[in-house]
Amino acid sequence: MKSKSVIWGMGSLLLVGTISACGSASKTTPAATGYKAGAINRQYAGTTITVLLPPYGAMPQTQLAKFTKETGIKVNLETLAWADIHDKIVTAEAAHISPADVTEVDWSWVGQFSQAGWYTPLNNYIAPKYLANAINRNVFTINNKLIAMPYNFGFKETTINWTDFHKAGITKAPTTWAQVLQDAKILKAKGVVQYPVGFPLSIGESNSTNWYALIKSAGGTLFNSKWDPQFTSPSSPGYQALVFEKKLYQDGLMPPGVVSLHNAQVQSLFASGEIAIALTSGPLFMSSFKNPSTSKVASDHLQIIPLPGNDGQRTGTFGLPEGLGIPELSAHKGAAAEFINWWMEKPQLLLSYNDPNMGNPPPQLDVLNQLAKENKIQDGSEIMSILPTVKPLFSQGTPVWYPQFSTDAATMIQSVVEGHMSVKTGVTTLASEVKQMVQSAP
Amino acid sequence: METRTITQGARPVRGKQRARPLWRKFFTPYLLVLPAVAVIFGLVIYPLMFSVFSSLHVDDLLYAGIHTYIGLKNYRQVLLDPSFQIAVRNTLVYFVLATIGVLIIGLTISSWLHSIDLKWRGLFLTIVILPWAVPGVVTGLLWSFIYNPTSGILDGVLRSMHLISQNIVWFCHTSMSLVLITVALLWQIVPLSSVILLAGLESIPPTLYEAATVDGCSAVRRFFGITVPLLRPSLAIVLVQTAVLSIGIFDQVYVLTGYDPSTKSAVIQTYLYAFQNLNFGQGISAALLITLGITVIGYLYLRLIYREVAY
Repeated sequence: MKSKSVIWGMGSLLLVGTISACGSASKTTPAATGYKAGAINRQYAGTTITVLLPPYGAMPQTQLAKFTKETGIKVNLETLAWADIHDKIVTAEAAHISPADVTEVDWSWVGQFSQAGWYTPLNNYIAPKYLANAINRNVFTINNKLIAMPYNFGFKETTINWTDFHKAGITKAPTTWAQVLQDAKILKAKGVVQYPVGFPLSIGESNSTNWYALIKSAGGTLFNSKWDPQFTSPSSPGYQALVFEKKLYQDGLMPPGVVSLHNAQVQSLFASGEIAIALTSGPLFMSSFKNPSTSKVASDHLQIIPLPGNDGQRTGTFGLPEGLGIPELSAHKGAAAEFINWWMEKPQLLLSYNDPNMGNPPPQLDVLNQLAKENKIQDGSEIMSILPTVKPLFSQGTPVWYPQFSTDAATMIQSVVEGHMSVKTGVTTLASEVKQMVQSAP
Repeated sequence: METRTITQGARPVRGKQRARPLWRKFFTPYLLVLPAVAVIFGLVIYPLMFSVFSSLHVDDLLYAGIHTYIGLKNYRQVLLDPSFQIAVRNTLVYFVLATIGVLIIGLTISSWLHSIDLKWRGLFLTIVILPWAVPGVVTGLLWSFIYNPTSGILDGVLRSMHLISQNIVWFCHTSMSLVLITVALLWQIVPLSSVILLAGLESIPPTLYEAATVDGCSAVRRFFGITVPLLRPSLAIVLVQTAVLSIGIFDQVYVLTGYDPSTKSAVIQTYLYAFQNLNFGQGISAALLITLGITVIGYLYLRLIYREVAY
């Protein structure tokens, strides 16, 4: 998949200019499209919209057929791997072609997409009740423009296997990094699991986001309001988090293979019972952990707990939601907006959560509250208790240089935990790279 | 000086032959090649020219609408970028290791295939060629299972043979990582190279070896005196193919080590310029520099190694 997209992308580098001259952007407003925010009717009957989402965003065809019956809008659903969607959007936008009428917008793409002006502000396209109830909406808002509507909510939490903990004689969930180290050593020493803790350390987004999560959980921050790095001081949570990660790896408490694993692969280790602590998991994974067809620990006692902090300073986590956006170049903005509003309705949100191929926690607070009350969400009370502590990673909005920073951070973290670089050198190098990025940003 | 003239009467004319108009005679060949020329121009020449044009201008998606002429600035920035320099260094290592590997393993396999009985050759040839048919990403995934330090086959085999007591994290050392990635690359490119070399070996008349044996030449002398010189056309093709695939390596590196600076190739860095940083100007410049490198190496191979062989 990646290969195809890269070959396609590289070819596009040579071809893209050819096409770019042919395109023209058509800017439309809700008034121009005649769409009334939140309306679900047959105003756009006969229109076909293309929706581009990752596999876990693939609404079942039976449900899409209901949308078509209700609105007359046909949906052509395309699914691609998450990272490939980014490449497709970039290539299409470079060629002034709309990648689809509705696309995935990850929280980490918001800075670049907003700067490039590729997405239609949805403030006036979405029904006020959905806007009011949207969890993590601020993550997708830059300069008061909402460029995507969250269709799930994600945040970093820790998932533990109580069955393994009890086998090792541990009765209390860890709340600090020191306790995680201590519990992991006991689990290993008692032979319950060889490598108790899972944490992705390959060079990719999941590695760096987990470091940010640890920083947040210890009450820290990556940058101040002027984008000055806040992780270079040895007493800073960022520095301490690296020391903690290095210790986990060097002490043999994490599988050696995590240096080449991404987040989903580490969660698979948890599902197969090879690790007892998924240190930086997410609520998205709980449904697959509890599914006997995808998990060997489905019958075990599993629990979501807040991320352990440093020395008891457990202050929170950050949100990693994914949203639905409408490219500016879409020719069917009204129909696309109707689709997004339809997705925000309770039946679709419930299906998106309950379908074993999707598992998206509902991003609408009223729906989530109701599910928690009815006890229909896995670990609902824990999730609801963590939710108020979920904050955006960057209070100023995701910067345009975020993807580059993320890669550099992941590279540094891997080098540090493997012992190729000291923590001090790692954070100093990353800080100087950040300064260059900030200076050269538009 | 003797001159020869060809008269019209030299060629027998059968029946009535209508004279073709001169313009038609002149234009027909051009009309026949026009579709091919149009396709090549549309899909190769024009995009290439446009790419060169774009590389000389600002083409950053974060600066929409700005396409100022900046001369060679993109090239200079790419060449001075330490990330690109490291990627080029890694790529050169892949290229050198792959070339040595293809020559040694490819020649060994082709010689072995050449030596076995014809009735078995087809079967073994099929087995040998299989890895070539496997896509690069799948190759990378396959080797990631082999190298996996937690549950990999390689560690398992070495442990069962008591050669190691603890699993080894194979991608922990830069030089080791480069070698391991090259092994995954070789697994994919050696098969076709072996087949090309086998075709070259089969075209050498056995009588030459017989004559050399009668003259008392040793096996080594026959190899360097007959085989290598007469394999030059095949060797040139194999080396050009190896250069193209090793310098353009992406899949195996991406799957095995991702964007790790110690192993990333020049094409991965190009991908990062374009799709991570959204700077297509730099991406195109890097892609053109890589293309130039492959072209120069390919030209040198063909110039220095390729020779027409006639028996």
